[in-house]
Amino acid sequence: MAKNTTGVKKPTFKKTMKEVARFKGVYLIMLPAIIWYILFSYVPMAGLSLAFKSYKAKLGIWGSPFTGFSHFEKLFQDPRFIDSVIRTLKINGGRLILTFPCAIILALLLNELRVGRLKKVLQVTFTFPHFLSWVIIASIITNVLSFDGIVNSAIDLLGGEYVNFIGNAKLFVPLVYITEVWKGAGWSSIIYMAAIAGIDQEQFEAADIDGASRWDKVWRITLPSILPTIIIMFILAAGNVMTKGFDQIFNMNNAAVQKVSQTLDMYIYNVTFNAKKTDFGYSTAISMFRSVVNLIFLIAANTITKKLGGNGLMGGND
Amino acid sequence: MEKLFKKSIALVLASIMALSMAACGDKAETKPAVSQKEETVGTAETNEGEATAEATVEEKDYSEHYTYSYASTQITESTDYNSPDDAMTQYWEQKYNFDWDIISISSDKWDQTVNTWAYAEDLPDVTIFDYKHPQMMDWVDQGLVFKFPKGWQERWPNVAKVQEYGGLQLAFEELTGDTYFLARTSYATNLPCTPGINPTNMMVYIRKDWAEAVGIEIKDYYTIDEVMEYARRVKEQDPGKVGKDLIPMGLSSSNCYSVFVSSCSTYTSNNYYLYRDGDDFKWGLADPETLEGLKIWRQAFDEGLLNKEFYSYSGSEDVEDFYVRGVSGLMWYQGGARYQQDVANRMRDNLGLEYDDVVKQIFITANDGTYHSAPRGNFWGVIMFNPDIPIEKWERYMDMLDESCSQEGQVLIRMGFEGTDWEMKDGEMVSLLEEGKDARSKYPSIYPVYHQLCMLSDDFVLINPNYPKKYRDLTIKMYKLKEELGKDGGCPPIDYDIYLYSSDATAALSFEYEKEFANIVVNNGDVETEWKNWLDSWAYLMDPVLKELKDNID
Repeated sequence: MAKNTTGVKKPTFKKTMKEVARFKGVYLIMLPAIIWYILFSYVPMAGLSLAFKSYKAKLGIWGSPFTGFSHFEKLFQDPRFIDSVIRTLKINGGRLILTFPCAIILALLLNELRVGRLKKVLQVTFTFPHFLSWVIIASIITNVLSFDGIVNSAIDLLGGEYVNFIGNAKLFVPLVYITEVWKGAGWSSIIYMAAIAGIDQEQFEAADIDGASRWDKVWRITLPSILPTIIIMFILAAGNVMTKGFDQIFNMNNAAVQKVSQTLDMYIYNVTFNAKKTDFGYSTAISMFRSVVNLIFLIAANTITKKLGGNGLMGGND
Repeated sequence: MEKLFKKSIALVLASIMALSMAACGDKAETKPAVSQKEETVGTAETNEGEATAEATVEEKDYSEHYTYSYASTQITESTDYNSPDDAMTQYWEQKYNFDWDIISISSDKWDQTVNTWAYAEDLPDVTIFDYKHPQMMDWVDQGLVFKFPKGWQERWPNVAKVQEYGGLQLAFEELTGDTYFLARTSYATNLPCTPGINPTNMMVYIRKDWAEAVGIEIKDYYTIDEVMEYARRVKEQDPGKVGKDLIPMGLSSSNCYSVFVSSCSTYTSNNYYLYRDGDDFKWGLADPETLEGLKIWRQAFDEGLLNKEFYSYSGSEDVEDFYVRGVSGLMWYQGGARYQQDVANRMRDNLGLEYDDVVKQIFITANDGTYHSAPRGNFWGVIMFNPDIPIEKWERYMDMLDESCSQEGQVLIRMGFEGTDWEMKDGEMVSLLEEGKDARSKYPSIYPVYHQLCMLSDDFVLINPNYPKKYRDLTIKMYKLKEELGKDGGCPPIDYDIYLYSSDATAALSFEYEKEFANIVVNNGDVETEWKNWLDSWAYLMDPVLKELKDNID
């Protein structure tokens, strides 16, 4: 049994319950979220057994006959599946590298604004797109970037050549990233803004006395102070690498960009709803594969973070 | 205390697992027994003997009021299908003592919506399903759809007769020994083609005035190259003075596929793409004629004859370019008399143009003059019932269907009420409705519920005096021409051995030909190379299917 080397006593159950009773209001606020997670995240996990079964509606999930690993055998023989996995990793890996830092940069930039009213206006402006659904955003993108949209009309007015934005396979992934940043950066930056707000102001005052520039303060105080938040957000994003962006790609997809838009979620959608017969076992097998890959990424990101001296999701170094 | 804490955690986890098992458990175990008062038929466990005896009872007691949940696409959200002011729905509802609970299914989510209901054992009383054979076989195997009692054909002869015309239900019954659905039949006695030959009713509409202005001869049908030439001249000369908005061929991806690929190659439908070739079976998409059509499609795109972003057309935007905006020189649209009337009305209302002066309805052949149309069943959508629908409730619905399939029922649904909406004059039905109007526009509840109960409108529309005779005659003439030009294999009858072949291999096929071919067209690679790559990418799924067909079909 591992020794407690920190010198801090582990709380007993009685003490924990006392604490819960003391802060019952706070715990009550948590309750809906806990119930939600139990009902919609943990209970459905039992359905994953379908990945090894041939689903028969009248027998239910438990009663359906086992088929072993047949769904997985079929899955790994399908070149479209392999392609979609690689494509998903490429697109969503790119998101981690290119779009993830945008919210941090935006938070830092907003934090540097000195005019409070402008800061608020900009914050609202950047946050607003988060509340639009991808259906609406895709429609806006089509209208703005289509042949007779605003952008091409402007290019035409300036004597330029028409640019095929929405039907160009090469531009599809950049458009995915740009729209992702437009829609999500403002909302995601709220967390970093909150983390920045929590930094001890005395550090900035001391830096001012030492003659630090604004850049120095951002680089040496703000960023290191919000690093734990950045790490946690990064780990969570890494754990979502196989599932991110279905709504976005589904709505921005068209025949011209079919080849570059078939991510794993699109593949699951097609084999589940466009096949001549719905095979829930097969679809579940793909979903299970997807979840396992996500878990691997999550654990890997968490482990690497700890190795580099960070706290990881559960806090504390091993 | 720590132990107590651990025990509490274990208790919570055990509760979660129990909840999970309850949620995923065998529904048959947890479901309450069906009410004894509501005897049911249709599941795999049905006592057929009892059901047959029930079905032959001749009494018609309609004293108990029923509400039928009815799910279909094309529902008009603004229509009250139980409206007391709608004489048509009142006639049916009062006679059979029921009302509707109409459930609208979005067309683009038709399959997935019905699939979800069926597997959740939550089908409405009546559901219209866009037939897919492997899917239906799975539902039948699992007892998820209503199984008709034996001998239903004797009790509802009009429905049975309509099913004979439709073909699918009989072929399915031959395969499985039972009836599980009714096909909504398109044509009965009025189809001008040989029984079994059922070319598509889709047609191409071109601007007659533009064709004349650019020196194109007006004909009933053109080869695909002639149509391309028409589009080229329209693009060059802009006879309608449309300017930069001009679209010589206003076609979406799926309509491009129909015009270019399906005009050149027979077995290219998403529903029918496999065929016999001697002892072998082939995939129509791998035929060289398919490649020819694909190349012409690319040519049209490269020459700017299509909308530059044809793949982004959604809904009816492409046909609206023709009859609403007036900027397109060609559209792909339904060809029947009612649709011609519809286009005429829209062009008059939107563009102030007289249809007969400016539009010519045509069809397209391959360059060798052969008309191609993939085999089609004489139906569109099938009627399925909830497997637990009470037998009396189902019987009453069948009574209504039987009347709707009768001669009198069809006249009522298509023409309205005698004396009010039409009358007999010199032995012929004469419409009393305002010109350009039909029963459907007077009684909104007709569409789509009564309009598509079990017999679709295609058959009656050919003799319906609500529509101008010239349009009806043109439809008949076009059907005859299509059959004539497709007689050398371009317009074959459906082969139910292939159509109703089902296995794990066939169930795994999921194509969206029009999207995948559009992708080849708009990307810059060599068409033939891209097409071959595309075929290769499907080979691992298609090869086993072709082998199975060869091994299992005589």
